[in-house]
Amino acid sequence: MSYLGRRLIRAAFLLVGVSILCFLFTEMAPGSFFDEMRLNPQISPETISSLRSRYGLDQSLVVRYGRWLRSALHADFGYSIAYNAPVAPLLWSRAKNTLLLATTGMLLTWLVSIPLGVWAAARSGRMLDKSVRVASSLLVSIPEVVIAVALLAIVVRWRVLPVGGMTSMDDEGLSQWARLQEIASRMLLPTIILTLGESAIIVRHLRASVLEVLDTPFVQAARGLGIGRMRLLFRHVLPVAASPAISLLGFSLAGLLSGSLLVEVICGWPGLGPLILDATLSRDFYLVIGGIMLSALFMVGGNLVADIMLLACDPRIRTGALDAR
Amino acid sequence: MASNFPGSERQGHPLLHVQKLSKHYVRGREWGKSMAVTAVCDVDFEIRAGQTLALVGASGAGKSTVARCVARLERPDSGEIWLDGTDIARLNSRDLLPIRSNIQMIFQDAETSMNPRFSAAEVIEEPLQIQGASRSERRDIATAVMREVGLPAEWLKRPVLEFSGGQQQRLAIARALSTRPKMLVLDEALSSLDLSTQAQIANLLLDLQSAHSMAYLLISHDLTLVARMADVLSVMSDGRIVEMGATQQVIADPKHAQTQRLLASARAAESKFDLASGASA
Repeated sequence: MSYLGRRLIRAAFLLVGVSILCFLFTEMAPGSFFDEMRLNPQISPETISSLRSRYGLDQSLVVRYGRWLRSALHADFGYSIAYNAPVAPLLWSRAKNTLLLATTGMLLTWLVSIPLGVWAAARSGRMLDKSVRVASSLLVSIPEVVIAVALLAIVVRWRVLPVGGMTSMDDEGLSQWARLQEIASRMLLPTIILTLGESAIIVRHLRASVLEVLDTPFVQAARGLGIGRMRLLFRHVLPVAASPAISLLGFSLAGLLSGSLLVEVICGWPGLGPLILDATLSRDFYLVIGGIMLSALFMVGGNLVADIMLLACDPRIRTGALDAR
Repeated sequence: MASNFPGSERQGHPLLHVQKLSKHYVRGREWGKSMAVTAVCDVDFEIRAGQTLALVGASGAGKSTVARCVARLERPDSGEIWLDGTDIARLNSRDLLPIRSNIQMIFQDAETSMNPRFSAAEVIEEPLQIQGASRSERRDIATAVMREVGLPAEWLKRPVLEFSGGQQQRLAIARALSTRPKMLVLDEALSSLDLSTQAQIANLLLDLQSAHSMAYLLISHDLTLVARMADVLSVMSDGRIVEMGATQQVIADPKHAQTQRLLASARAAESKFDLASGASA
């Protein structure tokens, strides 16, 4: 299983690299958490410098990175100045909400894209295919922010769905089931926004690769054997056409996460998005780094999942045929 | 299983009878103006059980279109294709299904003609599964046809990609044989193989033909091979059959200019081979 081993080692190196770059870039960014205090005449410069040394901000970059690594090994990932708490638990309580949004978006994306992509390819040139192509290129070319804001405006104007937060304020007395319904209805809008943008890309890719496979001799041969349309598409064409789409899955998971940060901010979903945005604005150094590391971890993890899936369904990787090229 | 095959007593009966077969392709429909291209026009021929008819011609002459129509990968525009007493030219895919087992096609590139994800067993058994054979039936037939094409039955579990080019072509033949067809369409089936493998596969095909008295429609541009395998040679040019006759006779005394041109270029390319002696082998 050297293929997976290599991938894992590469992923680890990647994460270390990302953390170093994170430190370098946040160091280069102007401003610090205590800048606003400096403007306040009631706080003496001595107080500020003692605070700085208490959080270790007066140390050199290398020392800070070393300390952060040690703290990361203890699963704290640094200390948030604004919240006065270790970063990891802060992030985790929000990451759960982001993950809920992103994985739901992911499932919905694949549920929509796979049948639509295959169907459009199977009827290429017909009305359905044409409308799928127009709709998907529209959705790909409009920025996600615009789609999000437009949908939000529609939803708010016609009061179709509750928006903002995960639950309403007075959810204490609600039963488990009612709470679940409340969460689901508030999740609907951000999930739809995420799904729209992401499935447009995947539908286009899947359609293209299914079309390509439909043209290959083995599909023609299978037709000659009298294999029916459904069996042909889902037993013969899709497994072969899925390879490029599965590689896309890793990216799309990462894209969904970074996309969901934006959508969370717009829809007021209490995920990582608003947290990282606030942390960045207030220069809460370690919280920003923690947030970036977490999304890097999601990205690497998503790609790893895609690699494992590819390994499971592309025999060329197992036999090393691709490495030989 | 051999009882499924009518023996030489049906030698005289035409298994396949093609009449006035025509096929057009429409080109450039996306861009408003469309243009009909005639691929095949008024083609007539017949093949008897146990016989091989070769279609030769320059590329673009319409050979492959005829093959694809006969195997009903395409629906011809007009004409009749009588296979063992049924006109299959107009049948829809549901009515074609039971007939598919009687006619099988073997493609030029064996590797791409089989699903790269499948094992040998899956490749061979799929046509049987489509025809509704039971699991054990399928396994028995797969083992039998693997032996027939000279592959060890233990290789059934292997993925298609692990077979060599010649072995893949044997596997493709095994798949075609699995439904016990009365007719095989060989569309340049030997062209992508090296000469020694080609000779082995040609021998295999000839052996299988005499064992099961199958009819072959052989599409080829290789006149040496055609001379060795075909009983009847027909020459196509611009979608029409311009000359047809017993292979020996056509090669010895070509009437049509296109035939003479093909023979001349074949002789120039393979001047070391004597076409006539190759034919008598």
